[in-house]
Amino acid sequence: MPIIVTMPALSPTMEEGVISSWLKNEGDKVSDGEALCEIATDKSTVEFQAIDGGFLRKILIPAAGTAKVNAPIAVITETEDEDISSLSFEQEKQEEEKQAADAPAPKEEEKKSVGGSFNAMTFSPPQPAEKVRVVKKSSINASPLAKKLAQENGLDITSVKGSGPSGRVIAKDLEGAQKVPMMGVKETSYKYPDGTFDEVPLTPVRKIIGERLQASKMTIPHYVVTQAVSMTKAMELRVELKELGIKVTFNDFVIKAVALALKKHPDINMGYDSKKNVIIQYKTIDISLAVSVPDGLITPILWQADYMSLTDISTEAKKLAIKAKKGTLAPHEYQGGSFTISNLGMFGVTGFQAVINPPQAAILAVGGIAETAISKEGKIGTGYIMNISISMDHRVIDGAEGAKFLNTVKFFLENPSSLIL
Amino acid sequence: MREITVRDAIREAIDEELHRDDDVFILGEEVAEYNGAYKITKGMLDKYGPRRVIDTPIAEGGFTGIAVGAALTGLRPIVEYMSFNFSFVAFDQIVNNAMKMHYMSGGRFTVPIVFRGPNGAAARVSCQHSHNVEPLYAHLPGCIVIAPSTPYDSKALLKAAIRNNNPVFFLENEMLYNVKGEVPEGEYSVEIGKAKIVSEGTHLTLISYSRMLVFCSEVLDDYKKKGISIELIDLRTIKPLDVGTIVSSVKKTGRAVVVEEGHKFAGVSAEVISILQEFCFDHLDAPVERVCQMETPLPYAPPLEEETIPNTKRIKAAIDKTIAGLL
Repeated sequence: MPIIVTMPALSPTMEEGVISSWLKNEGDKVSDGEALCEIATDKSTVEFQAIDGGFLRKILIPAAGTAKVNAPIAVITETEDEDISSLSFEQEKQEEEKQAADAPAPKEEEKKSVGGSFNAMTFSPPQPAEKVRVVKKSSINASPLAKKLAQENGLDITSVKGSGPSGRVIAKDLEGAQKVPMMGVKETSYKYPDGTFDEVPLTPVRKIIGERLQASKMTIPHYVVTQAVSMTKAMELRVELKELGIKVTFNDFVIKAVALALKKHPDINMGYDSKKNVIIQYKTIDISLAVSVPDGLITPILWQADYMSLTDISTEAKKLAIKAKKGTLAPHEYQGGSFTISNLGMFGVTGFQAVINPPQAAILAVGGIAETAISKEGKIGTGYIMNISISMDHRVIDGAEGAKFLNTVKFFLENPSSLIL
Repeated sequence: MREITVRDAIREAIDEELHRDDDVFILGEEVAEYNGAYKITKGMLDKYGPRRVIDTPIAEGGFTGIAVGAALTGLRPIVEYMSFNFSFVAFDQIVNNAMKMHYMSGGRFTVPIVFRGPNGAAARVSCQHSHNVEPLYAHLPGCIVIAPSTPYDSKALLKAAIRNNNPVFFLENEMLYNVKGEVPEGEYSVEIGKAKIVSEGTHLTLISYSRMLVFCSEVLDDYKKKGISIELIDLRTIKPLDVGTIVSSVKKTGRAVVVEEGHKFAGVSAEVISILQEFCFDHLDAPVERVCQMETPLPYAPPLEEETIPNTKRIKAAIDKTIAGLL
C-alpha cells in the first residue's frame, strides 16, 4: 500500500506551507523519523519527518511549492518498486473545476441584453427586519424607579418637576403627578418590524395603467410647459351663472377653453402612432377627462367638445364622471380621444405634471385655484391664480407651439365671457 | 455578654482550631518566638510547640509555597502575613498554585489554606504598606475573600475559613484590632458569603465592610435626626458576594452608597454597583454613589492620608447627593 504524505498542520493557525527543500530525492530509502523535507509556515521553518519508513517514490510538490494543510505532498511505498501509477492527485483540481461548472451560467437573455437596446432595471424591496423594534421613547429625566411607578400607576412623569439628583423626577415627586389620559394604551413597541410590507397582486386595471403609462413615460420624450392663469373673472362669472340657476364647475370652463384653443391650434390636437411611426392629425376635438375611480383612473371622452356649449359640457362631463365611478362606461365612451385633461384642482394642489395618454401627444394638468398676491403695474393686489401645465410629445409638438396653445387657453380662461358665446 | 477585642477574637479562633484539629498549623514571620507582630499568636508557641507554630524567614514566596504544599498533602495551614502588602512577594504561589491547584488537578487536590493578616491602611505607614488587596484577589477565580468588621464576625468567620477546603483570604485591619465587641463564649457560627444588615432603614442602603463600616456607622444618627433612615449593610464576605441581601435592600430603599477603603478603579464598590444596576435598575430612584480611596498612592502626611481614605465627610457628601429631593 502506498503511503500518501500530506502537508502537516504545524501550528494551529497554519493553512498552507511551502516546501523549502526536499532532503530526500525520489527513489531514496527513508527510515521512520528521518527528515523528509523542510517546511516553511507563516511562523517558522521546520524539518518534517517521515512517520512511516519506505521509499520516497514521488514528490508531488517540488521545492518552493506551496500546499494546503492535508494536501498530498509525496508518496512513500514499502517496497522499492511498488506500482503507484494508479494513484491520482488531480482530485482537488477536478473538484474545483466541477464547482466552477456547477455555478449557474448566465442566462441566455441576460447575456443578450448586455449592450442591447433597452433593459429595464427591476426593483424589489429588501426583506423587512426580523424583529419589531421597541418604540424609542423621548428621553425623560427621571429615575428608573420613578419611570416604573409612573407606568404602573398611569402617571404622567412630564407633569411634575424633578427634585432628585441632577433635577431628575424621583418616586417622591410623583405624588403630585397627573394621570395619563388613556392609561395602558401606550404602545411599548412598533406594530411591525422595520420595512414590513404586503405584496398586492395587480388587478387588471392596474396592470393596464401600469403598462400604458410606463411605456408612455419611458418611450415618449415628454416636456412640460407651465402657465399661471388668473381665475378672478372666471370666479365672478361662475357666481353670476349660479345666480341665473346655471351650475358649472371650473373644470367645465377649462374643458371649454381647451376645446376652443384646440380648434385654434390644430397642431396640438395630434398624436403619434408608434406602430406605424406616423404622426396622427386628429380631425375632431375629442377631449378625454381623467376620472379617478376606485383602484385606478379612466378617461371618458367628450366627443367633439368644440361643438358643445358650456352647459352641454357641464352636463355631459358630470354624466360621464358618474358612469365612470359606477363602472358602467361602455368602451366607446372611453376608448380614443385626441387630448386629455387631468384636474387635481379639487385637492388644492399648486400644480403638477401629467403623463401623456398615448397615442395622444398632449395632456393638460390643472392645479387648484388659490388667492395670491399679484403685482400689477407696480402695485400689489390679490387675485385668484390657477396653474396649468401641458405635457407634450416632442416627436409631434415643439415648444413654441405648446407655449402658444397654453397662452390661448389662458386667454379664454381670463376672458371667460368667450366661453359662453 | 462578654466584650473582647478583634485581636482576641482572632486569637481565640486560631487557638480553638489548633486545639480542635491537629492538622491545623500556623506559619509566618514572627508568629512563634515573638508572639506575632500584632500579638495575634500570643502564647501559641508555648501551647502547641514549634511543629504547629512556625517562624519563617522573611521570604513570603517560600513559606507560602511551603503552605500550599502542606495543604496539598492534607494539612490545613494558616499563613500569617505581617501585612497583606507582603503577600505580593508570594503572588505567584497564591494565584497560580493555591488558587488553581484544585482546578488544575481536576478536583483531586484541595487547598485548605487561610491567608490572613492586616489589610488596608493603618496610620502613617505610607503607600507601600497600605494596600487594600481584596479586589486584586477577589478578581480571580478559586478563592474566598473575607473582611469582617467586628470581633463577633472575626472569630466566627476565621473559624469557618480554617475549616473551609478552599484558599481563603482573611483580611484584618490594624486599626480594628483594639475594637471591642460582644463575643459569646463557646461555639457559634457565621456563614461565609452572608452579608449582615447592621441597621434597618428605608431611604438609602449604605454598603461597606471592614474598617469603613465603622465610619459608616458614625453618620447614621445625623441622618436619623433629619428623618432619613439608612439601612447599613456589612458585606463581611467580599467573595462570594451576598447578592441577595444587597439587592433586596436596594429594591426596598431605591438608593445606595457604597463605601470602600481601597481605590476606586475596578474596586469592590464597582462590582457591587454593577450588580445593583443589573438586578435593581428599575428600583433605583437615584444614581448609586461610591466613596473610595482617591486615585493616588496613599500619602504619608497625616492630613493628606485622612483626605485620601474615605472619611465621614465624604460619605455624607455622597449620601446627600443621593437623597437629593427627599429632605
